Amino acid sequence: MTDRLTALSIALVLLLLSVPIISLGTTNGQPAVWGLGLAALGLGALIPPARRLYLANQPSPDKPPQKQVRRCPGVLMQ
Amino acid sequence: MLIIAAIQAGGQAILTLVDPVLSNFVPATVALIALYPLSRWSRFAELPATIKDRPAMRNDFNPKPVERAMPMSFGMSFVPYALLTALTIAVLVIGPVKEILGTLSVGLPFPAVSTGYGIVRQAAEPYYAPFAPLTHPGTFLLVTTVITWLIYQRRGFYQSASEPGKNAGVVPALIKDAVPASVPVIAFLIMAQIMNHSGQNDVLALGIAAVAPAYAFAFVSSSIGVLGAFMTSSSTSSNVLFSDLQHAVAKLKGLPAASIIAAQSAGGAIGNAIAPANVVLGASTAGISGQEGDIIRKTLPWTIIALLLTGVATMLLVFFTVDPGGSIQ
Repeated sequence: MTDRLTALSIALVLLLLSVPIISLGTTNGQPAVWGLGLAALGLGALIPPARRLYLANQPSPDKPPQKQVRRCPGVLMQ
Repeated sequence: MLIIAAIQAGGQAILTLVDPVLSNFVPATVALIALYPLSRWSRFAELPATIKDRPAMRNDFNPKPVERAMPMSFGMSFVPYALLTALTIAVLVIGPVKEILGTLSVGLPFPAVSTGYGIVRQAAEPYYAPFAPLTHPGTFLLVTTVITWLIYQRRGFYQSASEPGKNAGVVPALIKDAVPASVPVIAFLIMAQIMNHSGQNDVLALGIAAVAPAYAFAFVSSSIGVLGAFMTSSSTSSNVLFSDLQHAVAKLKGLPAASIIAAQSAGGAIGNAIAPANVVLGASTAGISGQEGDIIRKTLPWTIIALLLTGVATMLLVFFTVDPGGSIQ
């Protein structure tokens, strides 16, 4: 599993867990529980853009640089 | 193209009146089947003379084509489509079956919420936005996938189709494909629900309703869909983001909600043509990466024309469908 996929998997789990935890905490009046859910939601939402921002200048190992194909006027200029 | 579009659009228009869940799947299947006789039509047997060169058809586009034997018969490849059609129609068209399966609903409870703008949401108990898993389209897809996987596995199609040592397995492939697609969808859904439940959509809708005359809003409602698709590169995400807002403004202005939501959906589809991620993906697939600017320069005028026409059509739709005695504002 690549770093990107690991990070996205963690984000997905955090997002999926956050909603039932917030529901449990808010309906039972437990601020610590819904606070935990809110933290999971925030963290899950932040992981993908944060990872992209910090690693923006590094080449991605799972996406090789694309070969530039010569310009083809026949396709786009019709 | 026009024949396929007519089947898809005409089928959707008719089947929406029967069952919205079936309205996309059945016409798409019919259109898929119609492709076969169309492909035998002599008109499509030869390339049009106007197409001089296509990167995907160049000899050097795929320098090492791999010849493979067909892993299964043509009929066997249609098994999942036939299963999905039978399952969906059986559950959704047979009333008693739909009624029984629809009794099971699940969801999460949430307490009442009030905001500083005086917007109050009643407690959602026992469930907030409950959904019935047994009549949900996702369940049909899941059941079809499992049955198809069992049939194909038993017949050894996966083993014969995969290259030796390269069969990663279903679960790793599922994680690799589904996780990157699921994260943004779930994040969008949560954001849209927070915007709706916290009253942010209402505040935005009140602001728009205060400054926009009803017909002017009808005209620009599809533009909001385009904006959403441009921002997210997905018509689905655009609809998730802005449908509630459009619905709220439509109610405030006394406009037919169905027409405004239709304009939002049409705008989302039109906006896909200029959505940066889609353009990058299309350019990459066609082997012309780096020419994204050229693509957008070509698609932008057509997007604007389609947007203007959709805006006019929405105004006409509103004009002809609004109740004469209604309170359009």
